[in-house]
Amino acid sequence: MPLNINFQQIFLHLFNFVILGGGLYLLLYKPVVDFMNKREQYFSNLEKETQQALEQAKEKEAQYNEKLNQFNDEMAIKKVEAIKECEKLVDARIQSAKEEASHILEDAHIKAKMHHDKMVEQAKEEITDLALDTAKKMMTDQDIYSQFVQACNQGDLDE
Amino acid sequence: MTKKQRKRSVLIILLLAIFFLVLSIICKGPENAESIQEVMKDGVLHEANKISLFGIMEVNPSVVSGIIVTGILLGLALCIRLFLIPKFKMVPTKPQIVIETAVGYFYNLAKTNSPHRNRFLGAYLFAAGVYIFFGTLSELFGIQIFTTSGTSMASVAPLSDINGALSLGCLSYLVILSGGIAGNGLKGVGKTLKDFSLPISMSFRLFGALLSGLLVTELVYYYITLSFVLPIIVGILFTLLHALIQAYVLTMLTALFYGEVSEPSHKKAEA
Repeated sequence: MPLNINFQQIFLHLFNFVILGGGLYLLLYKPVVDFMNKREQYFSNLEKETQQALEQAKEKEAQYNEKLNQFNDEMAIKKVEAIKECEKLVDARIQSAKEEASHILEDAHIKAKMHHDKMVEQAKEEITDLALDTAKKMMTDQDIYSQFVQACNQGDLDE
Repeated sequence: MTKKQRKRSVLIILLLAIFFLVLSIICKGPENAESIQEVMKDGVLHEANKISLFGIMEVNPSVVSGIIVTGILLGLALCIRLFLIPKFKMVPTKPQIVIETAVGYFYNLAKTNSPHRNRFLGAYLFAAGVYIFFGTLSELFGIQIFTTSGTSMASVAPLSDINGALSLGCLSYLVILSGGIAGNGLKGVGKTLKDFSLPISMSFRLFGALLSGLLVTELVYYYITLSFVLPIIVGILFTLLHALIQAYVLTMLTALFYGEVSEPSHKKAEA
């Protein structure tokens, strides 16, 4: 055969290679590939579990957010209601304060009027007393009266 | 060590080297038993040197090399199976990474090139890749074997013999054919037979590449004057390079063709 090709040698090489291939497959390739697949499976399971946990966490977060929003809404409504109630209370207080103030003012007016009247009465009495005292004095003191009459008469003549 | 002492020791080493170099050139050794032509011819054809295979028959040195490589690889695989694989962890250790990378490379090569059918292909690619790589590297160790004529010779790469290369090339073609049959039946056979030149091209590519390495090494070692420094580059670097390249090329081609012929036809897929 050209190039020293020999079928016996070829088959010997093939026999040798088949033994090597079979041995390597059983001893090395299969166990290592099995282990790699097992690890891949393990990590993919782990990833799935993590994904599921993540999804659950996201769901819970969504629920929490929803509840938080509801709570916020409720809070806002309650706040508005509270503000309204407060405003009502304040209005009521203001109203009562105003009423009280008007009562106080009325009382003050009445008291002031009474005081005024009393003072006027007192003044009248004092003036009357003063006029009486003056008249008495004039009546008792003739000189002053005659001087006054003379002055009055003099005044008529000049005119 | 002082600077002076260091200089002196370097000088002594250099003088010794020059002395031995001169001696090796002056002193003529025994005449080469074979001429360079004969060495080259034997390197290609392996006609002169035959090895007795357990006294049963006379075989080429490459067969014995193949058997030695197979024995060593199987022993190594057994050790790994017994002592390393049971200790594999989910977070890999350093030796585990090396083994997984080697196996994973061929596993992924089969998976990516033939996504439909790759279990057998992966195992075949792994075996072929490992055999080509370590078979070629066995050249470096130069295990001594004795020829039937009584002379000793260093073991050669199993695939530097045309018979070894042909066996692997043809086996790869048969594997591709089996993929075609398994994937597409008769259509797959047709698809595979279309590339009828594949076994020849695969075999001779492997043979040519490995033979060139062998011939260059033979040439370098034939002349004593070339035996300094040069073998480090030629012997180790070239051997490593073509071991890697040839393992890659054959496995890649086999995976590509296997994937092509075993891919289900579109009509079948539509149905």
